This record gives sequence, structure tokens and C-alpha cells, in this order.
Amino acid sequence: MHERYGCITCHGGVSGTDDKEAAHEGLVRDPPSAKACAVCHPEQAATEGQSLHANLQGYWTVLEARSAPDKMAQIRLVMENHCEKCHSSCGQCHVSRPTNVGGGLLTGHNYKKLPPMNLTCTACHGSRIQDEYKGKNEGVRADVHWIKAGMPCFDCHTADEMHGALGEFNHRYDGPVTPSCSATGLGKECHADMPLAPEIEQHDETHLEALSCQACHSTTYKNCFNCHVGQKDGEVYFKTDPVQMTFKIGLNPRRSAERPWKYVPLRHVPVARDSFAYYGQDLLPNFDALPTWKYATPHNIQRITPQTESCNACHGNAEFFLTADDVLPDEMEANKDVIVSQVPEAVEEGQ
Amino acid sequence: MDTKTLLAKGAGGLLIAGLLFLAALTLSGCAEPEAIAAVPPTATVYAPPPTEAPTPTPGPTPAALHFPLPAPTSESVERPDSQNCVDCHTDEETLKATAKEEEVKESLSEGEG
Repeated sequence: MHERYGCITCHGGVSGTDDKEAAHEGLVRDPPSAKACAVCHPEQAATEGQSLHANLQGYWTVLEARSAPDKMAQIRLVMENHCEKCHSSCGQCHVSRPTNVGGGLLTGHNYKKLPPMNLTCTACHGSRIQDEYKGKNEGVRADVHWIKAGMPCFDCHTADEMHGALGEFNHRYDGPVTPSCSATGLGKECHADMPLAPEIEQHDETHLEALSCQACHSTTYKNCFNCHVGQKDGEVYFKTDPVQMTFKIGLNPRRSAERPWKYVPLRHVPVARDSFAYYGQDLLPNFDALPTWKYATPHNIQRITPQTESCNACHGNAEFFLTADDVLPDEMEANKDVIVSQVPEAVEEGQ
Repeated sequence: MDTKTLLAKGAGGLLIAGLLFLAALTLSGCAEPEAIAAVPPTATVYAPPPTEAPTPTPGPTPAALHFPLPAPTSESVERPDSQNCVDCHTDEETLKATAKEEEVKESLSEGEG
């Protein structure tokens, strides 16, 4: 259907010439939605600017929080060189692979309403989400939604979410919980009846109010540390320390009406005070404004986990909780609101 | 006087009374009817004659259709001819001849992104 418009309508360039340079004048490799898609897809194009994939607002939110207004010029340069390649347009999901992972057409120049997740979603969200979801982390089983139900990403993450149609948000975990365990995309209502299921011992009001689903049903995941960016001979690069596989429950840094739980899994992000030192001194003067152990929803859900083995797997056991001993000395201030200073007390089993 | 006789006499009396009643009814029907008061005629209501409807403005006389009809015009999206693009991008030899070799540089990044 799209071929009737020809190439130049979307990509620009010049008609009627065989000379490469002349034909490519004004060429746009990745046309913006306003030019290429809006005429026929006005609904999606209208909200595309709100999509976090398009505007990368999540990055800006945390960088603005940790930095200062007078540093933002250098921060913008950091974003341009190292982060904005994650920006994805309509075509980078529906026609080609994202530019961030080398581009290339999905299946010729065919348009995919539901793009293959391995070439789009997990091509970018690979080292954490894909490895967790598909069981590629050594010793950690795959998510049951994948291994048992074969659910692709878009079974939960709807087109409306991807297209920014749910609203304008500052961060991935801003606004309503989408997807949520009790309501997913495609009109499905999974686990809607699960929360207060009397036959499940810990699905009582106390636990459900105190814990996110992942706190019990997620397991070990990657945590990254100490990222530094730079340039050499015009080539940009990053360097991070080796990942650490761990599972830590901490105090919810995003506690709200939508996310009311006290305890949630936390994942360490690799930001450091001097992550952007290549671009200037002290570019993160408010580094401690946000924790480095952030709200997480690991994609490795299991029904039975080490936490669910018994009550005292968690109660009285600091192993699963983020304590001061787990936090780097330089990050204590940043994480003071998420560290669990006192783990829940041990209980009599069967209580 | 016995019962039979009494009953016979009673029935006879009833019969006579009934016949007399019927006769009275018949005779009353022969009486002159009362005069019917004459009711003056009321005027017949006539509907006003319809006013003349305004003459419609004559529209253009539709032309006779000549088949086959012309195809409907499509939406106004500019569609420059892209045949030159397709010709080049579907010709392997041309693509190879005009390709710009990209220098593959070893990534300097370390660790998981």
C-alpha cells in the first residue's frame, strides 16, 4: 500500500536523474513522522512526540535532576554524542531495525504493523530485558510469560504505549502502571483475580500493599556500575565495569498512588559522579538528588522464587534487601531513601 | 279447589295480562310522533384555496452521463515520480559501483550498554 506513494514522497531526493549525488540531494534516510506518516496515520503521528522512544524524556528527566542549568549545554552534547542514538522514529520499528543497532530493513521495504521483537524491541533492549526475558543469563530461568506462554513484547506493551497515546510522561515509571500484572494490552486482563486470592498464602492485603509483584516473583538480574563516556579520534565510546548479578529489594523511590508499595526490586544504574568528565568538570553537581539503585521491573518473572520458598526467606533475612553494606560509600547519600535499615522481622512459619 | 285448577287459573291470568301489555305497547306506537324541532343549517366550512407555491429556481440541467466515467481524483499527496530511485536501488551492479566503502572501525566501548 505504501509503495503507491513512491520513494521521494517520504525520503525526499530528486526525481528524473540517474546521477547518484544529484538524486540524493535533500535525501532524508529516516523521515520524521510529520513528513512521512502523518498524512495517512494522523492519530499515531499526533502523539508520537510524547513517546519516550521518540523524545527520550526519561534521560532528560534524570540528567536535569542530577545536573544544573548552567551545565546543560555540556549535558546536551553528552546526549547528542552518546544517548540520542536511542531515539527511534516510526520507521525504525515498522520498516527497519533501529539505527542504534545498525539499521537495515526488516523484510525488504515492507511495513510491519507488528514488527518482529527480536529485530526491534530486544535489538535495543538486549543486555537486560532480552537476557532476562529469554533466560540468557547463566543460571537464571527465563520469564514464564516467554517460556510458557510465548508472549512477545507487544502482548503487554501496547501500540498506544509505544505511540505516546497514553499521555506525556517524564519517565518510564511516571503515570499509570502500564502494563500492569492485572491488566495488559490487547484487551486482556491477566491476573485480575490474582491479587486477593485466599488460596495463595502471601496474597493477603498486608503483603499486596507492601510489595510489588516483582518483589516476590522476580529473581536475579544484571546491575551495571561505573559508566564513563568519551571520544577518541572522533569516535564516541563508553566504558562500564563488569555487571553484577544480584537481586535487591529496597524502599520504593517512586512511591505514589499508582505505585503504592513500600518494597520493590531495585537495579543499579551505572551513572557515576564523573561519568561525563570528558565533557567538563562537575557536570552532575546534584548527583545525590536521585538514587543510583532505581525502581525496577525485571523481566524474569517466576511463580516460585527464592523469596517465595518460605516466610523467613525474606523475614529476618537481609540477603534480599538493599542494606547499607550493599551500597558504595560514595553513593550512600544518593541512596539514603531506598536503603532498608531494618528488614521485616522473622515470623513463625505458617503464621 | 285443587292445585291444578289454581295453577291453571293463575297461568291464564298471566297470559291475559301479557297480551294486554303487548296491545298497549302496540297502540302507543301508533301515536303521533312529537314534532322535531327544526335545526337551522350551519354554514359549510370550506378549506381556503391553496396559495400558489413559489416557483423553484431552475437548476442546471444535468448532462447526460457518458460511460465509462472518468476515474475519481485521488487525495492531494504530491507523488513525484520515483522510477529513478527504483531503477538504481534494484540494480545490484549499479549499487556496487556507486557504493561508498565504509571504514569499519573497532569499537572502543567496553562493557554492556
